[in-house]
Amino acid sequence: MTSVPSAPELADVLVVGAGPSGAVVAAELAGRGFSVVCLEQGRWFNNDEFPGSKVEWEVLAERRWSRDQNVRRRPDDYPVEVSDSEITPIMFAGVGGSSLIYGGHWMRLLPSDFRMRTLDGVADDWPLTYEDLSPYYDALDAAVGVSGLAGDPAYPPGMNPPLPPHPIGRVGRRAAMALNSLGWHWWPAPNAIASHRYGELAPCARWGTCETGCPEGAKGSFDLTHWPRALKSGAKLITGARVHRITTNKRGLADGALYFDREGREHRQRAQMVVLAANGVGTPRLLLLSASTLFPDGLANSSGLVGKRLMLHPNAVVTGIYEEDLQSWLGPAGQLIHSLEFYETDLSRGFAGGAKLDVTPTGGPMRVLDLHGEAAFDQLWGPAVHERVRTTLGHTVHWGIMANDLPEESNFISLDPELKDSDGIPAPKSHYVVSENSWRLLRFNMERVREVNTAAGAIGIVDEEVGPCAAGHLLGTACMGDDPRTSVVNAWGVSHDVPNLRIVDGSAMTTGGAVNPTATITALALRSAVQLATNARWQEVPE
Amino acid sequence: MSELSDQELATLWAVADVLVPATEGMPALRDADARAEWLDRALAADPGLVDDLQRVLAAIQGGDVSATVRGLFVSVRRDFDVLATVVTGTYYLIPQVRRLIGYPGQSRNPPRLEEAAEQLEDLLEQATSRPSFYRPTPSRPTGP
Repeated sequence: MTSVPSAPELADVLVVGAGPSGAVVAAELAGRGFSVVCLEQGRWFNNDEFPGSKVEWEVLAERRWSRDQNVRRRPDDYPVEVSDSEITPIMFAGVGGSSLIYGGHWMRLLPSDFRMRTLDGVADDWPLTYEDLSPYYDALDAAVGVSGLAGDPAYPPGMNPPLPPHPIGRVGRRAAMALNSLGWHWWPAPNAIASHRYGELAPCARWGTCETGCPEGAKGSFDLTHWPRALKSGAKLITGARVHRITTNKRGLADGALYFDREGREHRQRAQMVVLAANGVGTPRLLLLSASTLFPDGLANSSGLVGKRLMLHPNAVVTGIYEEDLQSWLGPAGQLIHSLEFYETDLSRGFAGGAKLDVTPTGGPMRVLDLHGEAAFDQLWGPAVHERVRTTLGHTVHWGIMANDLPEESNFISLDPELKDSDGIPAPKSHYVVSENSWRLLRFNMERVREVNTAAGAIGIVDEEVGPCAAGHLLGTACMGDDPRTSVVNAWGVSHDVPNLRIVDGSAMTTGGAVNPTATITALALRSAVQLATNARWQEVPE
Repeated sequence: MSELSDQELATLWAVADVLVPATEGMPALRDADARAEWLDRALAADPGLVDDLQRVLAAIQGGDVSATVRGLFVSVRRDFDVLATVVTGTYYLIPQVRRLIGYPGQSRNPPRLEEAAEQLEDLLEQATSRPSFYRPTPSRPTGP
């Protein structure tokens, strides 16, 4: 076993994963004087590497910069077995994690999301409320440089984005006019993309390529918003470090982790406290890999719920085609406007939960042809291809519909018995079926979006129902609750079974809501870090 | 010069004639990229495509290209997608083609300072005049 000379032999806090939640915890705790070591399997990326500023952007985005790790196949990423999954969970290994390729849609859950059992009779209540989380949402808004507009009537008062909103463009205006004509809610969308220079962030130049990395350095990815501060405060970040086991002592306390470096050598990092920030697939994978005599079903798994209740936010897309040139490739991408008109549960619609509707740029000609992918050969190829591109490229309003998929134990992450990552560690396997409730919800909302497009004067509408698609919202697999029999962690993200082990990524979310989760994940992580620091003197530790 | 042999290149141009043919106003790929320089750039952007492409082209060579491509579209979609990705990925890189379809490519377009406000000023009143409609919930104090 080889030691890592520049890392403390025994850290106060070991963080696994340098994505959004790991970055937040590392920055907060290092800033408060804790010795922090973070192990990250990926590496640093710089803006010049991202393909958005290159003429070959769409080709590069097909595979080398695909959002799907199973397509991208970088050695830093691990594969996910998906033969039993109707949706492919996707992620990105690197400093900043999947925020490197997220769209920066910066949405809070609504108060009702924390009380679905009480209000709607489904799923579970969280062990905390919107009001509990609100100050941490505020802190993250400031830290990532959210651009938006205060006063959204879909939310309680008090959200004040630090930067003004982005231009909504011709696309957003066309959608907003239609929503006004229907009397439905819309709002200039909040994005973790700087509309003006803000700290480390450059002002957005509207490349429209946010989901393959921002070439401008304007997107609030956590390599830019938090890691510089964490490192300045003394946090030690070890890249190329793939953790394969959380170790425990005889008393059942977490005391460190074993990991492989990029040369395949195994190391051990010892710590007084361990924080898992490895996302809703990586964290249950690691807990299951950490089974031992004391924890035969996996670490922190006395409830049997580690890996269970997987939520992925099934999506549908409905795209309106218009005669007018809307410059639909223009960023940010990012969301231009959103509507929460059908977000809250109304059981008379035949389903529980709701959806966020958002309008985003569409992209270039290859994406346009992909939109028409269900067309017959002669309607898409041959002479028809030129007509398709002429009438569609730049002429679209692209609506995303994000469904609140309720937690179900039949959707879960397990360890695959055969597939391995590049270090020979068992890969995770996703088991996910889109529920009847989700289908009803999606179809209801697709119909509403068709109504908006019709009201907006669309000359054509193209539907893309959820299918063999990819989702980057990885939630619920180590859920939060008060009862150790029905949850994995408590309201602070502390394991019910292992008192010095915390989970701060999307795994801990009790329900998923129907909004992009990074604001909530990072607010929960910050809340957990503050509580850890406040209570550290009473924390039971291994040494 | 392209990694493809002359025969492979000839087959690929024939495939392109099926997928994105010359029409009044739009060029054939073989004419728009006569020296295959944009094909090289597309393949360099995704080197993993070359092996798949050569395999699919080998299966097409010598036959009825149009019928084979149509057959792949229906029954071997993965192979069809390899052809479509290379052909369209190349075609829409070409500056002449981009000019003809009115696509400037993704580029820096920093907005004017007033642009966001100007785009909202005639639309926002209705959105802001709506009363709050979130569902309040009972709070449960849980301080650190």
